[in-house]
Amino acid sequence: MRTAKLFYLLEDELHKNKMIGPTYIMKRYQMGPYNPKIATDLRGLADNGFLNVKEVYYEKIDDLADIYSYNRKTTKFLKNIEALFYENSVIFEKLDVIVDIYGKKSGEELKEIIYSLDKTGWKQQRIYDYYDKSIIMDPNKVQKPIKKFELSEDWYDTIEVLLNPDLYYGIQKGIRDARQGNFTNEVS
Amino acid sequence: MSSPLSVIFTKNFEDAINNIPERDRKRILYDLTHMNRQDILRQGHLQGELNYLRKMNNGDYRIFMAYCSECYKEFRHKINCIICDRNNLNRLVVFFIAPRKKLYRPHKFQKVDITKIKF
Repeated sequence: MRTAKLFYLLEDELHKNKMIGPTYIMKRYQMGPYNPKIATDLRGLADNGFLNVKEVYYEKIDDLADIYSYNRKTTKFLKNIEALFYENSVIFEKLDVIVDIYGKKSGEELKEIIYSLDKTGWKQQRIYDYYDKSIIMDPNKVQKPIKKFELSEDWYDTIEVLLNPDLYYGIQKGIRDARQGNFTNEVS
Repeated sequence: MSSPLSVIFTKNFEDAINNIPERDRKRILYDLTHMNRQDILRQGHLQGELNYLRKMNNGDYRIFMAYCSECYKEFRHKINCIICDRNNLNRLVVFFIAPRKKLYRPHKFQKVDITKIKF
């Protein structure tokens, strides 16, 4: 999966700089670093309409794969949390660099790039030197990180609201009532 | 101790609170109508584009509201509340209440089976 490899490259870059961003524990698989939780999380976002998804048949693996793309809801969500990017700009700048360099490469190309790295992962060695299915990267093991992406309780609650359509539109409906004067008790 | 703030409920909040058990409803309404300035300023803010909202946890529920005094200074153009009045800012406008347990729940869209209906 291409997204997993991009996440891995980001985690590897952050690890080298003693920073913690995403905390997916990556294991070595035949197709490259992977954590199945990434697929679950992407599917969760798609189920809630925050990503478009379509199934595409890949002859090479003789199986279907999910292809995700952003939509208007993705853009709106990102706009709503823009302040969070500024608060964690050091980490998101690294993400921008990774996307600029590798964003257009295929999964196969990314695999080759990762497998050609001399020093990578938590042991800083070649991928071939890690055992199959062993942990290559555990971002939480960075000792005394100089920067860690953490959500405050207020941000956590905000994202809960933004990702829950019932709740988000419930609040918006309340605000619309306030604009239109739909109150149920006497306004003094 | 300062006196309780005036509380204004939107119709949306009223509809939502009428769907919760009476015992919880009574407690929440009592707490809301007895809140003073210090109480509201202790509650957290949502962040980003929703930063004009204060959130308050009460038992298994979370309530979303705005305190007119701070809303008038910083956010009044975001909400555009029809009752906005610079001479009457010691008020609380309550927009919505939702069960905390259900705040984040993936919405798996269910496939609808289409069957032919014979008339």
